[in-house]
Amino acid sequence: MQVLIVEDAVDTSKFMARALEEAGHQTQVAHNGVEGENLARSLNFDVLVFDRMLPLKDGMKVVEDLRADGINTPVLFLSALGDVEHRIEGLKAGGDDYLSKPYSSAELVARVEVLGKRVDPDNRTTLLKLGDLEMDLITRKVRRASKKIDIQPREFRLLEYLMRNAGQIVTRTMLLEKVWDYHFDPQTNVIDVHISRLRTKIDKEFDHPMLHTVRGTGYRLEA
Amino acid sequence: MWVVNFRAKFEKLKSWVMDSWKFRPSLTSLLQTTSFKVAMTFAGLFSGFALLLLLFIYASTVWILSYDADRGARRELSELTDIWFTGGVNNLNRTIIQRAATNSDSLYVLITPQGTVLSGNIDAVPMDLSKIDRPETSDDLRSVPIIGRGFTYFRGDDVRRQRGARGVFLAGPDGYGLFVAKDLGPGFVLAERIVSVVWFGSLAVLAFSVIGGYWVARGASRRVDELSRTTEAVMAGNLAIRAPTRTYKSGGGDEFDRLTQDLNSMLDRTEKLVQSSRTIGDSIAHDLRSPLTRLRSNLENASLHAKTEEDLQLSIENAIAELDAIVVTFNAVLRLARLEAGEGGNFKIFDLSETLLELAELYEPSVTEKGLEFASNIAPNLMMKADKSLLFQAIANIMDNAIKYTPTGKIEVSAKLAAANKIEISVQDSGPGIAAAERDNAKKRFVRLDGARSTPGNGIGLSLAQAIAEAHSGKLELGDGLADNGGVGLKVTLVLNSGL
Repeated sequence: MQVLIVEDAVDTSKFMARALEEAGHQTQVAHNGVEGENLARSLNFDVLVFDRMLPLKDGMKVVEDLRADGINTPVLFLSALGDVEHRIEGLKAGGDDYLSKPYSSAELVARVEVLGKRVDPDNRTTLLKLGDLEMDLITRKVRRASKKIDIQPREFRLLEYLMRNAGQIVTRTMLLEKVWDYHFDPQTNVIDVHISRLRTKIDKEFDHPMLHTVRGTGYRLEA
Repeated sequence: MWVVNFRAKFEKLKSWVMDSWKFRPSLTSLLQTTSFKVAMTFAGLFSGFALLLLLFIYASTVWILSYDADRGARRELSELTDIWFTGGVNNLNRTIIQRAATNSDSLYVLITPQGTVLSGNIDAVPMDLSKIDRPETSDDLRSVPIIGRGFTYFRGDDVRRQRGARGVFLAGPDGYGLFVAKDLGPGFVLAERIVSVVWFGSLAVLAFSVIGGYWVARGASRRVDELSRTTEAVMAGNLAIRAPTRTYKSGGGDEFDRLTQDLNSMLDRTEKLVQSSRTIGDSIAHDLRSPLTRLRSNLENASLHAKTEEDLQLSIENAIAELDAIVVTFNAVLRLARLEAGEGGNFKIFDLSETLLELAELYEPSVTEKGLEFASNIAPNLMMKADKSLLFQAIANIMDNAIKYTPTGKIEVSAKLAAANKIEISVQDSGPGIAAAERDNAKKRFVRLDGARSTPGNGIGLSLAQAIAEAHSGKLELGDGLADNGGVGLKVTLVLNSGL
């Protein structure tokens, strides 16, 4: 995956580039808004990572301009401003995801990868399949190895998200944001408990586990 | 020599004047005040209007009087001309002597060709006779032009009172001339008197305006001085000072009182904000310093004593976990600071019942996972105008606490409409509870009760929940919860105004 990193702090941008390269992606770094915009307009990238506040041209403004010109490359905003209102501003400006500083490199990589694999919104698939796990989005039924799995609405959404991002690492905050649509810091392991319930349902009676815990980061669903 | 001397004296005088101004700067500044300028403007307008009025009264009075006098004078002149025409100068002279003695309203002068007064009751003709053409002897008296004229005179010995009159002059044949005039009478005197009264009145008004304006300006500028002394003190760093207020029995109070009160409430708010940011600063310093110290010593320890790669790895992971906890605390403190600074957030109307059901759904697995019973008792269709994400954070904090501190038993979430516009959301647990004496303390920021010190956490959850409740014009109450074996349990209630 080709990733453009636009971040004015040189150390931070090096660190980000390294984290993404270790995960197997190619990166290019720009240190100001104008340079970042020019590179983004070359359309050579799968994901753009923009700091919100950049020298020469504000990151939000750059993304607004890109979107106005019909450039729809997924954008991940990074910002020291982490409030819900700031997040909403960022998404309104055309960002696809918003990550507030400080963040872990695993979180950054996970979000970039999910953005890069973003499903086409026109995709009319009604049946998700991963190995022997099947999910019917119309009848809202889940089967594994042809065996029907009884699943609750929220677990359905959780599993849907995991299946759509199969093979990717998804972090706890990503799940809280994308499945529950909450932005806060839970002090207890609420997400882990939901995952472990889901795991009991889809993995327990089968020959191999599909839902893996990635230590210190999050989860990954694999065939 | 004299010039030099004069110049020296002038310089001395000038410096004296300048000095006396310098030592009384309040006068110059008073003259520049708005109140003084307003007073002066009104005085000027009033005086101008009075003068216009005066002019009008005077002009119209004098015009009417003059018109009457002119008519009278011409009628008499024509009678006398008849006498002159038929009887000659001697006859005319006799008639004038007669009339001047009996008729006090009319004035007569008959002059000889040499210019001396032949008869009459005033000293001279009040006009420059050299400029008046004298007709030829043969001319008909009736065709000679009559020249009119207004003038003032003193009657007899009464030199105190000037009188007004209008008269006409007929230059007769042989160089004789006749002047007949009518006194304008008491009307003119009245008009003159009105003029002088109004004139002096206007001057008096102007004088009073200057004095009054000065006085008002001094009062106003005293109030302004009080206010500016206050603001100067505040700028110097004394936030506790307040501008002196005056109380009025009538209840009202003027615009300065309003300004003073506004300034004072602004200062109240500023003082509170500054205090709160100081407290926040202290709190951050206090609460972040200990985990930072721990972090530092762990890292130092690892760099000095770690023997294996695994040791190092473990230390680094611990350090990252510690940093994450610090970030969480930091975020919570910031949010709390914003709330206390009055940034209430994004208020919208939403279905609270729905949100609470979602929250119950989110937390239910965590509760049952711990072997506790979970119950939710949420009244349907509770609508509320609030910042949803803040409210969610508050209840999530309370839920986190309940799960953390309840070893066995049950957790129950409930919500109901307690009164019109009053919504009560409560989380009850069957944990050890908080003793009544400790409850106020538990709501304070960073306070971790003795029993909680060994568990992870930052001691900010309840105070943040309380601040959120306050931002929704509500409060957070602590009470006894569900009694279980051992503890009395804890009930945390958010009493909120629905804002609808």
